[in-house]
Amino acid sequence: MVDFLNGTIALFGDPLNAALFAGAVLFGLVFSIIPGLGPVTLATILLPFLAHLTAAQAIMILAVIYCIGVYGGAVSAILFNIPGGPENAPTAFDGYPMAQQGRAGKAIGAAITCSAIGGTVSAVMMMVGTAYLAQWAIRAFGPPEVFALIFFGLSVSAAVGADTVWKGFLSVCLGLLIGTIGTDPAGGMARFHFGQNYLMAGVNFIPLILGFFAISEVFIQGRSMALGIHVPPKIGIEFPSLKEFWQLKLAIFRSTMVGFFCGMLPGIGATLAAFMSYAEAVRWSRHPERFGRGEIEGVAASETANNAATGGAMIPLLALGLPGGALTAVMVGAFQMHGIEPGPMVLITSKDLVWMVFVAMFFANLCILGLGYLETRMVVHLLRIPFSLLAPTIVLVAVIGAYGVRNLLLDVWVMVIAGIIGFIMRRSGYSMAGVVLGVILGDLGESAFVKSMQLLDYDLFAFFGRPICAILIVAGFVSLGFSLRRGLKRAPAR
Amino acid sequence: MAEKTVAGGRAAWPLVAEMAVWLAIIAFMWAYSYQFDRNIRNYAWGAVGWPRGILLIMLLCAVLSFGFELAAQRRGQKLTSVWYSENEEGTDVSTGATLRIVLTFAVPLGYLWLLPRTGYFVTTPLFLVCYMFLLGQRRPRHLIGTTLGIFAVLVLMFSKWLFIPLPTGNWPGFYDISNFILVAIGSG
Repeated sequence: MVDFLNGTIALFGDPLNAALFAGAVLFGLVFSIIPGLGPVTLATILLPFLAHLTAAQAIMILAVIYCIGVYGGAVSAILFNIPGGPENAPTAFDGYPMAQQGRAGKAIGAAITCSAIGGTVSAVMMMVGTAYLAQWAIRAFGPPEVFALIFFGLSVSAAVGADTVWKGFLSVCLGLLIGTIGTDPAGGMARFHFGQNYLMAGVNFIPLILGFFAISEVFIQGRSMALGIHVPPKIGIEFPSLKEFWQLKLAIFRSTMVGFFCGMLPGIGATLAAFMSYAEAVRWSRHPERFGRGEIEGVAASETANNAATGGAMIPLLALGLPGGALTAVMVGAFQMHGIEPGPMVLITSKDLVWMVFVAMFFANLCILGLGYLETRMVVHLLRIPFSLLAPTIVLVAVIGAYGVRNLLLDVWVMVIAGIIGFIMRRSGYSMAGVVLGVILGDLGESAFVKSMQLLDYDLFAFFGRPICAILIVAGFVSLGFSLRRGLKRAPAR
Repeated sequence: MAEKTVAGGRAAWPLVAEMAVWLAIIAFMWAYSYQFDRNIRNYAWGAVGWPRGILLIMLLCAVLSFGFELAAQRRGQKLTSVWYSENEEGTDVSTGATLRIVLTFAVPLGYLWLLPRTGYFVTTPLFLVCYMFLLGQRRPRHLIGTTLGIFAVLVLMFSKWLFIPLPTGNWPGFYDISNFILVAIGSG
């Protein structure tokens, strides 16, 4: 408690620190709304300037950008089906249909509140348990456990958004197959590159999600306009009621835990946290068929988890010097720039720095609540813009978002082709959520599987000799069993 | 999703086409996988193990999907809905509407094709006007005002402030125009 108070005084007692905090909140919000830019871009742009600040100020700014950035992308995901970053993609699964149904206010309200809750709770957990949790997570979770976790996440994906269970599985498999394009994780051998050097690095995820979500949506709405059956979205700025939030309590609690835990695993981070949490929300729901069609619990699960992951990700970074994702890797760079080596000693030698960062993350998550509600009152009205004016803007922003990732026009082609494929698949009852889930989890899954097989001497049954693995794999098979039972009963998935 | 009666064998052709597309993808990818079917020293199952496993699951799901949908059709049910077009029943698809649908896809593709040739700064305003017009915007004030507004914001944000090297074109003359714009905004 004393450390927390000292950190608060250090942060807000100094006008420069307070101004840097406010600036990081504001710029983090603006950058995270624009697809293809995001908090990582902002952090890398700022990195040279951070050398002129103290180490505590530099890390504090990056930590605040991290927290705010993870939330900011939810707004464009909900309003226009354009996730600001990969970690906001599951938010679009239900947030965008809610906006189309005139419940944009509820969706954004849920995103704001859940982001704030997830982020704040994880910040508290981070303050309390950094030293102990980091050691446990690293020791208990090897590649077999990570693979089992991913298998567990994928096992429920067939239930999300597709017309039938089989189409759900096909969507996920297509995503997994797209994930194999590039080089294999064991020997670095080029696969499915079709003679294109560009494809040897794999298909970048950002053009894919922009294509599957934003561009396919423009095509779908454009077709409706051509046929004269376009229905403009209703405007709704009504926020979720307390009763609605109370009904989400279990989902928020579960997603906070899932998000925090995924955040602690190096290389997993906020994106997987959001997808895993969404999958868990579907698994535990009494109405899984509602997901993908405007279920508020889907928005809550995704947004709670991705912000909860921010606190979790700081644990291996500060306690062991292991960055969990791109932005935490930039933080390692900032530490080294100031001559500090992140690791167990940093908690002792740079206690003031650590606590100022903890406090800044705590208050940044609280800021989401206030700023978010102010922002919502304004941004929901963007839906009043006629689609004829909005569509070209969406296409242009998406084009720059895809192009800006690597300054390659081929990424833009990938985005448009993904848009056309997305259009056809959505009209045929397939699940874009499933495809995206497959791409994200496939890449990580194969890497973990290869390492597991090398570790376990190619014995698949050895997974069951590790308690955490066994539990996750058995639970995954049970989920698959439920999905298959529904498929065999020949009932539509919704 | 209301159940709909689908009469006759003709209704099955979309299912057959869908199945054929999946089989073609699976067969093509499987055949292509022989290109990298080589031993890896530190991994016994090689680079093909994982993708071929996925392809086998895909094959199983595609066959089961086809089988269940066909069986449902024969029972007079339809498992797959097209939820974005539930309000399309009875829509008369005229030639004009069909042309507009084709252009909805073709205009962005044309824009992309032109982008490296004529450059972002020349092609983008044209794309904006064309696409807005295609989507039904007819008021000149909106067409011109919105185009200029969006173009100015994007150019300033991405070229001047963020220094993203947007394509400048490689056809004669277009590079010079793009360069002139970049110099004018102080980013060249």
